[in-house]
Amino acid sequence: MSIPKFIIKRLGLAVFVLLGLSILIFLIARVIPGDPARMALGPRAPEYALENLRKEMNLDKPIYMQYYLWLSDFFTKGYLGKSLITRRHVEQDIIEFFPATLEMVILAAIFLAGMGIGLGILSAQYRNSFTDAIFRVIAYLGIATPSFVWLIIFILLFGYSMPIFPVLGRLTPGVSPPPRITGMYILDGLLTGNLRASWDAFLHLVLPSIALALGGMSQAARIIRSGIVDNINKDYTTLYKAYGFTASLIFMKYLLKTSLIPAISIMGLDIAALFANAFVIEKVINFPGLSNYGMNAILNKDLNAIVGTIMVLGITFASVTIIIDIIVAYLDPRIRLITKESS
Amino acid sequence: MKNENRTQIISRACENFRRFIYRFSRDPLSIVGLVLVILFIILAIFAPLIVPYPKHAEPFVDWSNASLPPSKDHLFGTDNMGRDIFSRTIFALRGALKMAIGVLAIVVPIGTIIGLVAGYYAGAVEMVLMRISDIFLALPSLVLAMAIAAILRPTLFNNMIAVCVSWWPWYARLTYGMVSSYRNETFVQAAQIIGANRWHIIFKEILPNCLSPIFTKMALDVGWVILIGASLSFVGLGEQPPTPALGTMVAEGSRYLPDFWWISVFPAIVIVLLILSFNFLGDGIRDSLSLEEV
Repeated sequence: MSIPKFIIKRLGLAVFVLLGLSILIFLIARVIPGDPARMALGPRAPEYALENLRKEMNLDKPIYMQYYLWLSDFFTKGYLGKSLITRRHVEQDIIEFFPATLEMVILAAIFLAGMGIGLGILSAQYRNSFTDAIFRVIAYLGIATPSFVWLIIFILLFGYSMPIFPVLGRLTPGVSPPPRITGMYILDGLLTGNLRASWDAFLHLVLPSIALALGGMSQAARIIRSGIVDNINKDYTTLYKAYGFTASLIFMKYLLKTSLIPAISIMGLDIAALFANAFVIEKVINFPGLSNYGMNAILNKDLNAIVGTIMVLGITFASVTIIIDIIVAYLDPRIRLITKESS
Repeated sequence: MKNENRTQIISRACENFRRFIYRFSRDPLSIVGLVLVILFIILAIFAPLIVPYPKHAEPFVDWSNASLPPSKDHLFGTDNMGRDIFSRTIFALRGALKMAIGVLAIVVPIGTIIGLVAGYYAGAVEMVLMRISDIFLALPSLVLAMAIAAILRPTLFNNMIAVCVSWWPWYARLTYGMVSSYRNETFVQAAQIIGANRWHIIFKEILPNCLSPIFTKMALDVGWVILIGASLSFVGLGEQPPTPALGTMVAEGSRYLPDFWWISVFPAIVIVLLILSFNFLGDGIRDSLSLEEV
């Protein structure tokens, strides 16, 4: 089928899935044992304050009514409820914290794709040699080690033993953040000409981004390597060799495209998983991002914030998956036909 | 006649198994993985008997020996409360392995059956089941597991439930994909013509063909479940102290970096080794099971 139809199908599916997810998270959040009003106001709050808060949060209405109200609030006013901890609107909190995490994840995704593909190609070129064995060991280590372990190793090595990269937070104290356009310091710094803040933010992000990216990078490298190695003995490669193309041309242009297809699907999943790993990492370095906010919300049972954060993550994840699916469908027309058959 | 068939079937199965063992034993990494996995399992089971300081896994404080570097007495050093880290790490293996076994024992049967049903009874059933699994896949498994684990009380069992909820769609999808491609094969049609009932077809014809990828995925998944478990306990949602858990030990130790580095580093190394060995094992199974085309 054509690409526009495919896109529409995928979008429709994504909307359905996100609605289902919102219902799931809403139910889970409301099922929490414990009274959210009590937890917000503290143990010595008088009864009428609790009642007021409950009315305000619509807790006295039946669950489907609460869900309907929440959903209509979101679509008409963009209002996701009030956070019980920060006492601000949840969407304000999210707008403030999300760009930080987004920045880190985008940087990590660039590392993942770039270094993953590069390592994969190198590994395929030097296959079955000693360097290949080293590559394979590095790849295994990359996949098996959790991101937080990498982060701790990096902090020890590059933060303390050889103090190259700064460790805590987004900017060194004393460097003020650039005026807020997107909320991502690197981008804002570049856009407003404040290069010092940009560079400083970048330095702070290097360690966590690489720690995040290593797992997916190794996986991508392995898949690209096996894709290239599979195709290396095929007829068309021999043909190109006969034509006299240089090895690097064959690798970079022709073999890479074929092996990119399965790699991109996996990379899409890995990039989405970066958000999940960011959850764990942000706590270690005190990074004021969405994951830190979400973790605090979860641990303090801040209902609206939990639902808001999870929905934002779900939407991001779904968008990444859709983009990846569209790219793969563009690269490999068979996917579009197969999707049509199985539906 | 029947006895003849059975002997043939058994001898063919033995032959396949022997071939699998032979191919597995040729790959050094797989052997390393298998040996390490067996070692970890033995360590976990016999932890109280093997470990030098079994009391340190329970509530225990010894301020005079706190924060000692690795030495002859304390292989991995002691933590800030004077407990031997080596002993606690071995005890922490138990939690990790228990969770992996528990999660897989629940997720694999349920996910596989859902996938089988969705794949065989196509149409409305398939759509509904697969869309439901898509909803659970809409979030990265770690995030969903964290959300659920945080909502329930932090215990090993609740962690298991949290990971199960986010993990089952993978097996459902895997099985569904295989079943829907086997559904139109000749052997299934032959069974249908003979008049075999649906359950026979699903469980005796289609399912045995699906088992190899499922087993491979199981072996690899142990590593991932342990990773998620370690991440959950790292953020504080795992078993509460004083029960030792790998992620919790890394988190507690991270506050003392870089001076008392051994409190974090050794449990972290053990986490990596654990996941690595299951990965080697799983890769070895996958490589030895794969049918080579002549």
